[in-house]
This record gives sequence, C-alpha cells and structure tokens, in this order.
Amino acid sequence: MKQANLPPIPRSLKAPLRDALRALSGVADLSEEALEPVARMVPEPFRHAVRDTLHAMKQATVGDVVSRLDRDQLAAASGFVNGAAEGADACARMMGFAWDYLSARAAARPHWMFSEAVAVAALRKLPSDAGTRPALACRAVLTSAAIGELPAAPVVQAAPGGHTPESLLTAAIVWLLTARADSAEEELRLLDMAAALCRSIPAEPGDPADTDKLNARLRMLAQHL
Amino acid sequence: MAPPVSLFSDAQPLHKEAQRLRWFIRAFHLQMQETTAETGTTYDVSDDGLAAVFAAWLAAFERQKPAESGQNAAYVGFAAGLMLRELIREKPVTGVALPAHADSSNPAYFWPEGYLYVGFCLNVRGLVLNSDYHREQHPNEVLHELRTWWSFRENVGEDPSLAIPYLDLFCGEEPDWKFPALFHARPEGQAELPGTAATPLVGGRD
Repeated sequence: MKQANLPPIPRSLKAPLRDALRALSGVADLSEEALEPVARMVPEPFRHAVRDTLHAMKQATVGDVVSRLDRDQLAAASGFVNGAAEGADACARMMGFAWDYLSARAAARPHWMFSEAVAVAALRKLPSDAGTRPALACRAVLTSAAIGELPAAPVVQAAPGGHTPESLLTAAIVWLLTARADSAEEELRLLDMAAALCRSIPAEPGDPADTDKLNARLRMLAQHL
Repeated sequence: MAPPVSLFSDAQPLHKEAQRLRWFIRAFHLQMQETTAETGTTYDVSDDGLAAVFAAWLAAFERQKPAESGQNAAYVGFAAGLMLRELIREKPVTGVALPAHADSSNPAYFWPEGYLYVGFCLNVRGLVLNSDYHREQHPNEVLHELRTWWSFRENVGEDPSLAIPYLDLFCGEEPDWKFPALFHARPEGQAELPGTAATPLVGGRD
C-alpha cells in the first residue's frame, strides 16, 4: 500500500502554512528515527506503509528545489539585507528556503524548526539603519521565537562541524548579502558554498552583543563568497 | 590554449575576483578538467575541502598583505605559494584514478594530486600577473624533473610551508628556503616577476 507523494510546498502558500509543512517534515524525520528500534517487530507491509508515509511527508518540503527558488523573492530579500526599506517578508521567506535546503543536505538533519511567520514579524520591526542591517536581521531572528526545537525532539549535541541554528542563519544571510548568481542552479551552489565558508571561518570569540563585529563578519564573508 | 573566458569579470580585476570562493571553486574544477584531458588521470574533489582551503588561504593572505600597492605584483607570487601550501595541507582531492599508460617517472603520475595543485597555482598566478600587472611568467625547467618533484613531495610532507619556495623555484624565481612563510617586500625595480604563458605550465612534456 504505497502512499501518494504530497505536493511540494506551493510558492503561493502563506508563511504560516509553509511553517506547518516544515514542522511536519521535521516530525517525519524524528518519527522515522524513533521507530527504528521497533521497526523489526512490526509486520513488513505495515512497516513499508509507515515508511512511505513518512517519506511522503518529508518530500513535501523538499520537492524540486530549483523550481521552488523564486528569484524575484530572492532579489527582494537580498535588497532588504543590503539595507532596502522593503522586503522583510521576502527575506523571511528566503531564510526559510535556505533553512530547508541546508537542513535537507546536512549529514545529520537538525532537529530545529524555522518559522517564517515569526521571522517576518521580527524583521518588520527593524530600524531603517541600512549599514548594520545584516547583523540586526540576524539578531532579530535569533532572539525572536523564529527558531525552536521540534516538539518531542531528543536533546542532541551538534556534531563537530555540523550545523547549528546560528550557522544555518548566518549562511542564509551571507548568501542573501552576496552578489547574485546567473541562475537558480548557481544560486543553490552559492548557498552550499556560503554554508561551507561559514563553517570554515568561525566567529572569533567576543561579545555576542557586538553588532558592529557581527556586521563586519557577515559582510566580509559575503564579499569573499 | 586561451584562458577560460568565464574566469574573467567586467566588474573587477582578476586579483579581486580570485578572492571569492565561487571563483576559486570554479577555477579549480576547470583546472581539474584540463589536467584530466591532458593526462587521463581522473580526480574526485570535495568542495567542502576546497572551502576549507580557501578559508585558510584567505586568513594567511590577509595577515601579510602589503600596505604599499607597489608590492602587489610581488605579493601575487607569494599568495600563489600560500595557496599551494593550503592545498597540500587540506588535501581536497579525495580520489585519483590513473590511466593504464601512467608512467610514474613523469611528475604528472608520480604525484597526481601535487601535479594538479601546482598546475592550478601556477596558472592562477600567471593569469593574475598577466591580466592585472601585464607581466609574464617563465617556468623553470626543473618543473619537469622527477628528482625535483621527489624532493618537493618529501619536503612539503614534512613542512607544507616549503610549498611557497618550491612554487618560486618552479616559476624561475629565487626561493627563500630559510623563512619560507614570510613575505619579503621587494625593493622598487626588483619587483619584476616572471609572468605566465597562457598555456598550462605543467605537463605536455612526453
């Protein structure tokens, strides 16, 4: 009994609904891990049915990544982190896109959830100071409730060199800050490179509230991406 | 062979473009394709490894960057040596398959990864010097000598910083074996560096 795949997240879906699907996908991951020890005790047909259903749930957020990348939204998001007054909604949406993409490619899928709806609310409140916008956007999202543990997620320590909520968000912002690529495929490669660059050049120890320092780091990484 | 057009940009000079990870990864993959076409050796490379190489190179590059613009051309040569050092340290090439006809007395097959790294660094060095500083590079004959490659491989295995003077040697410059990882500003008039031929500098000898 094979379940039909759920459709990928439509571009027109409202942020709270994308958040719901994102959570569903994360829960599917956790459920598969949680069921692993008892899987052998369950009859084969039932085991397959459960696995197919969980995979269909995960597929709903992954889908065809290239076609899901809306380059108009990306341009608006890029403008926002670079200081434009408009584009907070696009910025949250692209952060969510980057979050999904990088999480799906991570060796160990992170057990956190990103909420675009909460991120939008935080980004809309940012002051008009264009110069420190990258750092302010990063702080605003990190200190809002936009990132949180998935319900019932086990407490796991991040693997060395693995993603953390901060590293995923930093990679997303560095990607949005840098010069745009010529195609959606190249944009995805750029996002991979942003994540690798952020991992390779870790933040220096210092005052986490130092906005100027964070801003300088984000701009330096974007300049060299 | 003309240098690949896609490595150049209208927006900024090549030495600036080369300080971007996206340029570095693209250029390395192009070098890999060229080397495979030339030697028949195929390589697997990790882009995460290349990112780590780039990050280490960038930190070392920024640390000794000269304040005087008159030293920039000389620094290109040193920066290429730093790149070779980081490639040798990080080993981003994760797999190598030699062709059936491989002759290990040829440097290309004696140390395939080193051959790729040296070819990449020499070509980038030459391209930057040629396009931004209008200088030419004249590689030394030792570049094709197995005994030089033998000592190169052994020595950089013990001290990767020796990659810097070895690259100078391959370029026909005076190597500094004593303080290999220190950039020495060149007096005005001595900053002339051999530049590049636009053809690959390594290989094509047999």
